[in-house]
Amino acid sequence: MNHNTEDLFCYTNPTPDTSSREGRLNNLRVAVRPNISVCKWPAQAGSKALENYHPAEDATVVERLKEQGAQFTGMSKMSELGFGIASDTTHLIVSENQSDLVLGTDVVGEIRHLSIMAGAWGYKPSFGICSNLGIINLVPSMECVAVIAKKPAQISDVLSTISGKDDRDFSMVWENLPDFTPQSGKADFPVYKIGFLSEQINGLSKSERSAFKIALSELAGKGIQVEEISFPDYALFKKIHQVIGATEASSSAGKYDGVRYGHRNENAANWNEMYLSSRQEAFGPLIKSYLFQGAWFQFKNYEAFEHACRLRNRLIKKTGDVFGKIDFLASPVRCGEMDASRAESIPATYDAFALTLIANVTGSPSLCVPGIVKNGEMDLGLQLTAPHLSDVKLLDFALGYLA
Amino acid sequence: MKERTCCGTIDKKDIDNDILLQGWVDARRDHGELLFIHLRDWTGIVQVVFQETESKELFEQSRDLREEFCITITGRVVMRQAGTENPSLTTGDVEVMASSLTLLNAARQLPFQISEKAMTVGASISTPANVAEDLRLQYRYLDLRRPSIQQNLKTRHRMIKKARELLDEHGFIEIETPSLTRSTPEGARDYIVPSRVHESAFYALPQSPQLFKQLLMISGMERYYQVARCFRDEDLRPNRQPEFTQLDIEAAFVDENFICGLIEKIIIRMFMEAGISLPHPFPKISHTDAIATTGSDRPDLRFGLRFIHATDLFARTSYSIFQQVLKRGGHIIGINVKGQSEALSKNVLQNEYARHVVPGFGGKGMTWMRVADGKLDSNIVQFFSDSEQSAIIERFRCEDGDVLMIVADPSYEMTTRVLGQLRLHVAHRLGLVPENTWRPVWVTDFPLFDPTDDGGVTSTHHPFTSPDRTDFDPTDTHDLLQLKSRAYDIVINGEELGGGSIRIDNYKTQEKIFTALGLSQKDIDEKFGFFINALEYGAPPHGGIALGIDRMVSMALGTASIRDVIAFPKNRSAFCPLTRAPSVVSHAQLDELGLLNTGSPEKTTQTDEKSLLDTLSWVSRIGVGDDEHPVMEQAVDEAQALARQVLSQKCDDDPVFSAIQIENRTRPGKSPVEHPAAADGGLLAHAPAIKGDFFKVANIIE
Repeated sequence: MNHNTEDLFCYTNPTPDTSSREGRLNNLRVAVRPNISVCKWPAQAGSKALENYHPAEDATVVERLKEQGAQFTGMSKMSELGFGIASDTTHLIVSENQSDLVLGTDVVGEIRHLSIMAGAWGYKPSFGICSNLGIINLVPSMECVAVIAKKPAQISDVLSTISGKDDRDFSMVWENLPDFTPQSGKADFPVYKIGFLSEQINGLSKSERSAFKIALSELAGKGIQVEEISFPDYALFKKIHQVIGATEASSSAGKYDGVRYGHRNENAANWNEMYLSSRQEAFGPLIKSYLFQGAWFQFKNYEAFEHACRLRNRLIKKTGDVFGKIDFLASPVRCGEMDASRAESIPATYDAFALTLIANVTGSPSLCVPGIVKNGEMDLGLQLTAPHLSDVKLLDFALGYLA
Repeated sequence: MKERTCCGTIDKKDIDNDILLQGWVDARRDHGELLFIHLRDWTGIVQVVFQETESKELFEQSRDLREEFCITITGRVVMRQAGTENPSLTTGDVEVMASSLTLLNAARQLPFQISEKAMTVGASISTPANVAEDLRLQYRYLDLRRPSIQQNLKTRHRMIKKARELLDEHGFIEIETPSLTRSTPEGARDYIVPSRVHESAFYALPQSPQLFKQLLMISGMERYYQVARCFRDEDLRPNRQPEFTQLDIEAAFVDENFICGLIEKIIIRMFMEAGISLPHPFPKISHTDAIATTGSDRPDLRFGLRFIHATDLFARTSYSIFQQVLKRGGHIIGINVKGQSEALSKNVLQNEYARHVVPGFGGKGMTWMRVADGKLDSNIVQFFSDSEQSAIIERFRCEDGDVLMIVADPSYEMTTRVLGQLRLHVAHRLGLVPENTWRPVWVTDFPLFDPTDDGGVTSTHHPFTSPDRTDFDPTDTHDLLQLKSRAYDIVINGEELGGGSIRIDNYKTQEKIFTALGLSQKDIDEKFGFFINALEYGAPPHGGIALGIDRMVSMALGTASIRDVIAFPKNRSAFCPLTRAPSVVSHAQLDELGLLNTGSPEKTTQTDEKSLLDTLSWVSRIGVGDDEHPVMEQAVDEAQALARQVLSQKCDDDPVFSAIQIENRTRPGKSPVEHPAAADGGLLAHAPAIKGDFFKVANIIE
């Protein structure tokens, strides 16, 4: 069943065919989630807090895509401030062929989940290789631009276009930023090693576990080594992400005061009341719960936040140790127990996205492949996570073995 | 090593001398073949010259110098070429030709400019006022390198030193009193310090050494002083610090005249150190007269505008506002603003003062009259009879061009207070306050008690101040309010710099005062028992004073804030941006102090939950509707559980705040440009509350 355009888009480009430039992305139709700035388009990020916000310029990633001739179709509907996917239409835009590619953000794994729902490829690059300028972030240290595409080659093309230094983003990898031009077409591939974490896979249902293992055995049939690895701290990813995520969200949502843009309660008697009532009305229940948790860490237990940052360091190091033994870490993208599109509370959201959090906490690149891990009718998606900055190797592997 | 010469001391007598200098690079100027630096130490600045023709190697070395590098230099003092002198430097006639340079330590990129001296005549210089104060306080060690701030601290040192010298000459000795003391219910809120040894018990940091200095007098240490640090947890005001320094003095077998005479000498000498000579002897004014003539117990006497009482003139008036006030036993008092009828137009008087300014002070209104052609002119003058008008002209000594501003209110306190504030407002607005004028005055004969709202009394100063007589009945409020105290405040230019009194030396009188204040015998025994006991052992008559040093130095130096005369002050929010105090402490520390066991978990009631949510709602400025309460409470509960789980994990790794190592880098050099969207208004096109060319934002009130 196909939807009407207005059901899928919150804004459509009135002049989608007027791409003035010639480049390697000619005729590529790109939709964005409305937390990515396109000059003069309403970037409401799914929140009343950004009502009537019209960015004055393109996000750097958008600017770079335009330079290569990409055509921007419009903006999808999205969950508030990009947290979770409860009211998202991004996946439908791809599955109903309204665009070839969608650009969004990935806080807990949103874009990766949506890609599998769309039957398409999802990709979250290494943290710090694509500019965040013009991206309306909620959790800046975990979140980055991510893409959904029908074909993996499109992901490679887009990555090589949007990655690279931006003078105006100070959160990027700078000194040792590699070139992300795809290398595929090389004569021989090395013998790849893929690992999976026992603690992660043991949390799946029996049938999901066997679906995942069947997929791995098929890979083994192609000459890939598969290894099981124990990671006793695995349960911490969820907790650490939540403590840090909520704290950063509380901090970064502090700027939405309804003064220069966004919803404002016009009847408040004084400034404080204006902030209180405007922000009360601006945020929905899911984000507001998250912001209150963050406020509690920020103002009442900063020590817990700081300790979570210590544990994050440990998780990054231990994940690094795992990547010393293998090339990629494999897991399903989602499991059947929790439906991410119905997750409307904080615990439900974290449970639904539990499998995708490692890449956000550690900043690793992560590629999601449709149609390989199937539990009956349900596509669980194959997620491959690679060491930080080894994006090209990951994409080359996918093009060589999975495409 | 050669003996070090100080930069600020170099002059013509040093010409041709080879000297060694150590200090910081204040500023640099590169002329290609010549490089100049201003070298600064805490005595001043001298210009040092590096020449490529002298030594290529040294010259190249000097080109690496940047602001605030700490260096050693040797060189020869020479006269500057005629026409290149720098009159803004005391060493501006000479310069030092460098012969060697040693880099002691380099400095990172500065958060703000430190140099205050231009290298060339007419170049612009920075002042501390241009830098955000919190940034200055965060890098206070750099801020303190500014010569102007160093000068403040040096003058402060000399002022305190003078006071110490003079007190020493008069036989006073400096004695330290404890900082960990008992919390007593006087004045402001205490800062409390938990005791680890005595569980659930607390020390308090002293608000003043009051009881200890009185105990010293009882001990026979007849003349005491101390440069004492005091602590008050008061509501934040712009010019207030949670801790402050006072010169605390007490002497036995003395009276008011002794203390005032001594303090006068001390204050005169201290101000002399800042180059100010105070007129003396300081006049005295009784509290009653100060209120009756200026409406303030800290009168600013630098200008006139003294109150003129006119209640009696209107006994039979037909002006209804005055009639009503007089019917309720009220008062009519005014000021004559001489010759200002041009500056105070009808419009200003009626629409600004009568309608906004005076109501802002809490007054109900203001009556005004202007004098022209020997007659009164006002919107209400027709309500006054001819005889009333001529009585006003005579009482207020009216001349053409004068403006009368009159306040009437049933309460004398209200009438004088409102008119007192109006007096200051008008004087500042019209520029009637002369600059560089100093008017010290003693205010004496305060009432011993002020009435409280619930019909009782409270001490005007503190409960140890001696009353003018001891035959009072502590239960008779009316009688208590008639008592005068033997207190004295020193006021300069309308600012109170200190206060003191002759103290009660008789335990019976002291007990009566406590009773008058509503303390039960049990309260007295518990809180002040030790002190009453001490008074019972032959206490000498004694008295003293405390002077606010921060305030006095700030006034003498004319600084905008007392923070400019304190080395490491807190900011306006009582926070130290440098050390980030106050800070949270670990669970373990709290546990050790027994502060975690103050309530059992069962005691966490609905109201506690609610107040935590209210706090979070307030600090994050997100309102919570009644219907949202349960969900938000559950979210906060989850956060608390999560925190416990996270904190239970042992981990000594460094905290990381990003998935990657963030590299410090500087934006490549670009000149500032205005974004086109800012220029054409596009940036604000969708602002929800635009007024004309502006959008409305929060008013920032200090």
